[in-house]
Amino acid sequence: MSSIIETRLSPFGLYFEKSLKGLIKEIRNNNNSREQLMEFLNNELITYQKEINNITSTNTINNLIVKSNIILKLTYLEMYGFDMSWANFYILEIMSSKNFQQKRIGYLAASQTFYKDDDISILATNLIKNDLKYTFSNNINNTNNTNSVSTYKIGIALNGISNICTSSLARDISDDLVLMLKNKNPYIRKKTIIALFKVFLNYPESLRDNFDAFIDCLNDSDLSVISTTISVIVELSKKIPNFFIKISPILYDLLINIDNNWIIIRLLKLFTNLTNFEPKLKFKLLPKVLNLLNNSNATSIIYESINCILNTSMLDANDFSTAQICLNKLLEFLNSKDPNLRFISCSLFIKIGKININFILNYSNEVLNFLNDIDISIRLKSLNLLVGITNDDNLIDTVNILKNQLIVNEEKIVVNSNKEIKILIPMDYKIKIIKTIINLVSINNYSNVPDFNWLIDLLYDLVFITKDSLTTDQKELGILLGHQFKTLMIKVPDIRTDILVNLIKLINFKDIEKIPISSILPDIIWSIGEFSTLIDNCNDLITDLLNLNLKDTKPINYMIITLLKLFNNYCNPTSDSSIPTTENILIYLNSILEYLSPLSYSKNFEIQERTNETMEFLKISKEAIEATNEIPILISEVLPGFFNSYDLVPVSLDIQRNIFNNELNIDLDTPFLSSEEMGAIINESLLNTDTSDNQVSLLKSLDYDWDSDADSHSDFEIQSNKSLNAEDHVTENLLDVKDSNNHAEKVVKQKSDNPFILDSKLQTRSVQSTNSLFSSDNKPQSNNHQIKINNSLNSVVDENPSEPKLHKKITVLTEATLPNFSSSTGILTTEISSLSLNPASTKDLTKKKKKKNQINLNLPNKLESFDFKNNQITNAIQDADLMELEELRQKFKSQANAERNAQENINSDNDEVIIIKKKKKKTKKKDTDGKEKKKKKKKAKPAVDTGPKLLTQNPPNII
Amino acid sequence: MTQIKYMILASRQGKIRLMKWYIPLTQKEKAKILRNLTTTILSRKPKMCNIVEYSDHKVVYRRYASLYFICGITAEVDNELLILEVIHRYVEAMDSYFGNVCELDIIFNFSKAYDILDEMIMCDGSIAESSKKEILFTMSNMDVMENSDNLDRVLS
Repeated sequence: MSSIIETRLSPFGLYFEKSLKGLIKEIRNNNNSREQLMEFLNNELITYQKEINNITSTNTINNLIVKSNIILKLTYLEMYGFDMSWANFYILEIMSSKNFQQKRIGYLAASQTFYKDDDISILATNLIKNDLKYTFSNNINNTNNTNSVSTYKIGIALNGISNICTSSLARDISDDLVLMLKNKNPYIRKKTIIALFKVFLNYPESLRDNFDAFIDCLNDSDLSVISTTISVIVELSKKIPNFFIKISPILYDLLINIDNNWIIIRLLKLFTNLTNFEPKLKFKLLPKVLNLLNNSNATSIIYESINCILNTSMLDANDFSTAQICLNKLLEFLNSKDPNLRFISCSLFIKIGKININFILNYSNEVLNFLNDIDISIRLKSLNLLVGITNDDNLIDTVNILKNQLIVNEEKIVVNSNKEIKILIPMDYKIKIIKTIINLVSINNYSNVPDFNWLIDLLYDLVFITKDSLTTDQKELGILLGHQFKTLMIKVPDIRTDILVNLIKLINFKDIEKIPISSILPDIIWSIGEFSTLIDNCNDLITDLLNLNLKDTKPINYMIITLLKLFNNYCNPTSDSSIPTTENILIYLNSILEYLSPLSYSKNFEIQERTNETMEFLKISKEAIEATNEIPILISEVLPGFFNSYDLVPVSLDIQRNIFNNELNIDLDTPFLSSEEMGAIINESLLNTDTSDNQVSLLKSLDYDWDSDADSHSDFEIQSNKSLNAEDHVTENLLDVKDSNNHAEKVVKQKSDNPFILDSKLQTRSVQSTNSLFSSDNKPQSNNHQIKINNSLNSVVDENPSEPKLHKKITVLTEATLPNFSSSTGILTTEISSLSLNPASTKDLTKKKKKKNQINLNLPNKLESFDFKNNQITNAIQDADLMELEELRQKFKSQANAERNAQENINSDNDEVIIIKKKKKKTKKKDTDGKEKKKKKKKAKPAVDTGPKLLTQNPPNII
Repeated sequence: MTQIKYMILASRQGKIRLMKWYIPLTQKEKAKILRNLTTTILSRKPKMCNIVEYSDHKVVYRRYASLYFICGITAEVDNELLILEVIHRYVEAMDSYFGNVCELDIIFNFSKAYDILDEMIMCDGSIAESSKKEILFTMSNMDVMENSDNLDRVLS
């Protein structure tokens, strides 16, 4: 009933729909809970939908009023995250209204809701074109009134274009817009330029054809027009810098003459883009930029100048004076009260440090101050700087500052004498701290560490702290810490016992397997096993390890071999006095077997393999003990042979691969024995079955072992390849080497009188450990190669003589490298290079260049990538245009010829003729130039060549 | 050019008062950004800096009374200080337009707030006009036009 009254009253200017104000007030009333609000808003939406669909009145003006009101409310509701694409058509309707207010609402709604490639923008094309045209005629009528309604209508339409521009729209309006560049009103010129930017992006031909007209805007009388032009050029120069190199003199003049800060900043940005493309520019620019830097009071200009210097590699790695100027300015920022300036100076410090780390060496105090900043985000950034300023003197202090921040969750900082501010120290900051600490100590092969006992304590503390303070699982951190322990174990022999003590402490923590960094466990377990010779009571450790309740596959995997190693050292202690009795051996043997037996059914292939190998070996040993009641050879000699033959030395990443890539020429394909010889040997061994039962079972089990070994080796190969590809640690590799060595040795020992064909993979792996296996008559090449490696290993294992530290007595082993390889740099150097000068910066540069190239290519592609149909249409249209052009050109030609003939007839002056000819030549040249340019830009469409330029240029030249 | 990815006005309670996207995003992405940004920025203390790194870009924000003005910009390309200046100019322009602007003004006249923003920043967040005077002049002219349009309608 009421709705009928409402509709009847509406012709009299009375409306009962809720106004926007009403809606907002109701929203505020319904704001008690989120559910209530959502319910209310949903109801509102449904009402609006009904209202807008049910408009039946024939009075279009009133309809529009109602609709625009609803659309305005919908636009408001859009901020609450409602989808209003269903109303797109109504928005279009309002956009086409002649009422200024409604048009404004329509365009606002359109720019808020139209998604870029929406179908609706195709419909909008005509509308926008109309809006521009409609106002054109209007504008011509009252050209004197520069601020007429039409001006603002154009303004609104141009705004709309800049928000919803598709390639078809761009093509259709590009010519209109270019014409509007000549409009008398700077307001329109300004907006046109920005709208043109979108057109250029979507329709690159427009830029090509109207480049000069566009650049002319730099000479505009209105400052904001110049400003917007530069804005657009900056943006375009990111994508096609080569296009703007030629106007750099104009831009340089602007930079010198203009004193508007906004424009200067954008010019600096522009030159940053251009200089990265054309490095020659920087010599001319640097004095001017430094001048700006020194004389400007505006911080944003100083910031931009420094940015410009740093981003364009104007700052040479050896140019200490320029760096000093920048750093002096930064120091002012750094001590400023404004946190923004501090943040900015911090990020600029990092950039300077990347160019040459020596620039910031003397600023350690300033950098350390960053670490105590109120703002965590500044601290977070400054962590990247620490690598640059730490040395062996301040390392401990620096790390202590960091460590203290790890412990607390909340920090109180006193500001302005009395005020106290509490800051929460977030988790990601703590994680970053730990990573930074690890990076700091391990840099340059631990050359900054003054005291390794301190380092061990530090690492232990880190594990302890992270164990409690982290809440979420931090796999990465655990792996990092684990690697540190393992690397130290291998590289610093003198402190192995100390580390071992700490590791055993860690293992005995309650619920160590459940801490957030439980991923540290594999490395701990491995380290304990590998250096178990240093432990006297391995038997107790075995019990401890067996009590661990491991769930993850990775630690279990390491556990199996570690148990075997411990068992080995228990049975074969270094001092003869402590050799255990057979009863005791059996006890531990049984408990290990008990632990292993469920694992032999593990779903993890590798665990199953390792378990079965180990179990078979232990079972045989057990039988032997039970049979003879004394320690069998298997345990006393074979078992140590698995592990103790060689010392472990650090090896560079990739070195194994390099051996085969560069240095050696080994035939891996030819088997040691031909298949006939093999068969003979196998037959022989089968014939010799009159040996004891024990031996037969041994043989069988060994056969089995052999197969599984081969398999697991191939498995290792895959694993190690993975680790080579991924960023991994040296020791990861080491481990694989070691393990595979173990297997190889095992094979060697067990099979020394039963040779088999070694497949290539296995041989790859066993190369380093092959001593007795390959007799010289079998494999001379492999023997040669082996000597080489051993030599190289031995030569580098010694203390690194290049850095003699007086107060450092502890030897740090460097990774073994092959002498001739320049490529095997190892992981540490890659870590350093993140802050060292050249690799990083050049990388950045090449990256940038690549990017540019891509975008360069993109420009012509842009059109093609849009919509193929559209493209064809363009082609068709352009072809048609071309035909017309051709006809016109013919006409003009004939006209021109006629006129020229006439002229020649009238005054048969020779000079005149020559001049005309010259002119003609020139135009021709221009044409060909133009053609070339266009061809370069757009190979896909050679037919487009003859642009409208021809038409406009030819006749006036001739006439 | 200062390329602003988006401009968001959020109240201290995390309510969105105005948002303008200069890059095409889906409704879902927008919602995610809004959610993340409001929580991170509202939790920041007054003494902290106004620049936050968020996913692949930087966010510059500034607080005026109960309103946070939040701008997403491209990292390494844009001048953070300039953006702060842009935000300030915008607030100044609104202040003069509404006369001592408060949050309620922006809520009830959100379309005007958008219009002022449109006069300052155009497509892809390039600054079209930095002069407050110019913006206010344009705005008042447009308002006069609206009113005269309405007058015409009543008279007809």
